Amino acid sequence: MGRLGLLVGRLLALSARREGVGLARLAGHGEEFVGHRPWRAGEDARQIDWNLFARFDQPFVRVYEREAAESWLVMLDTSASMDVGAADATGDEPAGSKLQLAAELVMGLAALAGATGARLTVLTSAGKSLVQRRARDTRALRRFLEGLGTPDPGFECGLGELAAGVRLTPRTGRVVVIGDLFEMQPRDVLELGAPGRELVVIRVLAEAELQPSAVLFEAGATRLELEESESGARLLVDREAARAYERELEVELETWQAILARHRVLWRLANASSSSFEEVLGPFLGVRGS
Amino acid sequence: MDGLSFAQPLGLVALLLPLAYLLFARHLVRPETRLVGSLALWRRVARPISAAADGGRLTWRTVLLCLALAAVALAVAGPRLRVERADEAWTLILGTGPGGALVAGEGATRLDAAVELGLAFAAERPSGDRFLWIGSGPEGLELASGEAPPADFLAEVRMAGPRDWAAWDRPDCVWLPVSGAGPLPRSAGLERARLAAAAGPVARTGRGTWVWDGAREALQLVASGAPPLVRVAGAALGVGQPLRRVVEAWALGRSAEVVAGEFERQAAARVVLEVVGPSGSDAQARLVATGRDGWLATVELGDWVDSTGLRSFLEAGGVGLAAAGSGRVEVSFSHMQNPRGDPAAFAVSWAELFDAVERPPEGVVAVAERRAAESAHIDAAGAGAVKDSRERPLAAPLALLAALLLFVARRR
Repeated sequence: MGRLGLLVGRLLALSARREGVGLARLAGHGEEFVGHRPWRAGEDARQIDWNLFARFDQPFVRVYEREAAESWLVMLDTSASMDVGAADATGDEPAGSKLQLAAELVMGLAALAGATGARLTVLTSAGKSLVQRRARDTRALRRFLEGLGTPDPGFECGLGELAAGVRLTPRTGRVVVIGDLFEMQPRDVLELGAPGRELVVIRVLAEAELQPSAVLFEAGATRLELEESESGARLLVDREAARAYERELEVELETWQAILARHRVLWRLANASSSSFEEVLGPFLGVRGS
Repeated sequence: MDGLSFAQPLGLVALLLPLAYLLFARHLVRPETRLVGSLALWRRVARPISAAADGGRLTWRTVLLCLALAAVALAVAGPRLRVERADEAWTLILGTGPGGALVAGEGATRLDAAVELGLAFAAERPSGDRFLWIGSGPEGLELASGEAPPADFLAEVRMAGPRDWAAWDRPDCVWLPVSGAGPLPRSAGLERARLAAAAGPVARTGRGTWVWDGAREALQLVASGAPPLVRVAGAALGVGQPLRRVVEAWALGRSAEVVAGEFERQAAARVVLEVVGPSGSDAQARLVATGRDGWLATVELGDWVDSTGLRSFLEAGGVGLAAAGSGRVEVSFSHMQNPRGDPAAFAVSWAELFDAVERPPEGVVAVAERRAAESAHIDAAGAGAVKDSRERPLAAPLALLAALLLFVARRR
């Protein structure tokens, strides 16, 4: 929680300094003018209301306040494929699985939502949901995150199905999609968009899924049998196939990035083994990870 | 290479291990399984590889492991490589002298026992080995394995003088002595039967014969008939000749009687020395100067009688003038002028020659040769080397090979 507190603290510091156009993109829209206050030395001169300065010969800045009750929706993939993490030589379950990083991202987003006064709703592909209205409601968040690994019986769907079936209200200002997105297409995400709503896509992949030729074949194996975590299907591949996979994945990621950028959707690719939630969320907030 | 032999042939059953490994390699070397989130992308790029095809394909690691297992299995069986070698030539040296006629035990003579040991040695050698039996002279008689020397050959051995064993101390030689008095070899082998003490005459002088009882050190003098004889023949040894005078003086000092007459090679005479020379009628009228040991003399060349088996004593310009062997001295000159220089040197020079070739009277054997001796066996240095090279164990090289293969397999 120390790292999370530091991240939220940075966000709050940004919010406190900002009256007007914020640096944090997640806090960008939906603010209303409430009045003026004297300009303080060191503040951005561009925030000065020059009309008042001409009238009173003193610098004033415009003061805004967030619109009340903005709603954020986080759609989280908790399917079996998210259990995959970086492969290691021993074959043990790695500590840095995709779901682990996804949970940390949810935690960070919850903290940010609470800090900015937004209501956060988290929906998982396993049928779990969380609605957090107050920033200090961490107990429910903790229980929710701890239960991510146990899906509800009889309720398992892909992230694409979840996105297709979700009902969004006009007050849903931000939608964040977190998952490995293997079974989704960019248009599935774009259908969640609406005027005044910001879409964020965070694709979390394991190290072995990003660089299989180096990770899976690091022990000198010439052939490996890959097992799909959800279906249990198996496929025998060699190092050449791994290199072809990497080229294909690179094309796919570039396609995702290009399409989403064209529709002003925020895109971030995260490595479950090496990325931290600060690194992933930082660029959206205009801060660097610690 | 004649082939492989195995100390533990049952160990070859372990060769089934690499075969079994090969049969089950598909399951043993099954590729590792890794978990991935989705196979969708993989299916688009991966060419199909059937598990059966993958299992049927031999990897270098599998091959190396199989070879290592095979090497270990062979090492367990204790393989020995029989190395082909060239046929060896062995020289069997028989002990000479009258001691060979002594009874060694159970009725056999000591020479018979030595021959038996030589035959036994030959029988243990690989077929194809050759055996040269050395008897009275330096030239031997080559016989096949199992073939004993003939009786006349052995008779000459008994009549021959003392053996110079050091001249035959070589790795390819085997000594077959007839007494325990000789030296021990350094390179040659030694085969000697157990010898019983043999009582009997040990010396004969003008007073009689000295007899050893086989147990005590004391000798008993037994009066006997005729004294030992020194037979002289040839014009060069006529009365009044310088060499005749030396012979007479030497015989007198040993209570021997000088007898003049024609030389009879096969005569079983009780002689200790025969000095012969060419006849006067065949003498060539050519004078040559010769000498040794401080004396010089002019001699008149005659016919050479017989020098086979003799060693040269006197020569002039490369021409042999006198040669000596066991019990015999032969000269090729018919007349010798009085030697110049010290007369004593002339007498001593010839007397030492007579002493060297003196053959004891029949039946007389020195006490040292009559004593009992334990059996002895010393391997020839050559025999040991041959034994080592015939079979070479391969377990250690195979174990080393297995370790090397495992190391390489682990690195791959």
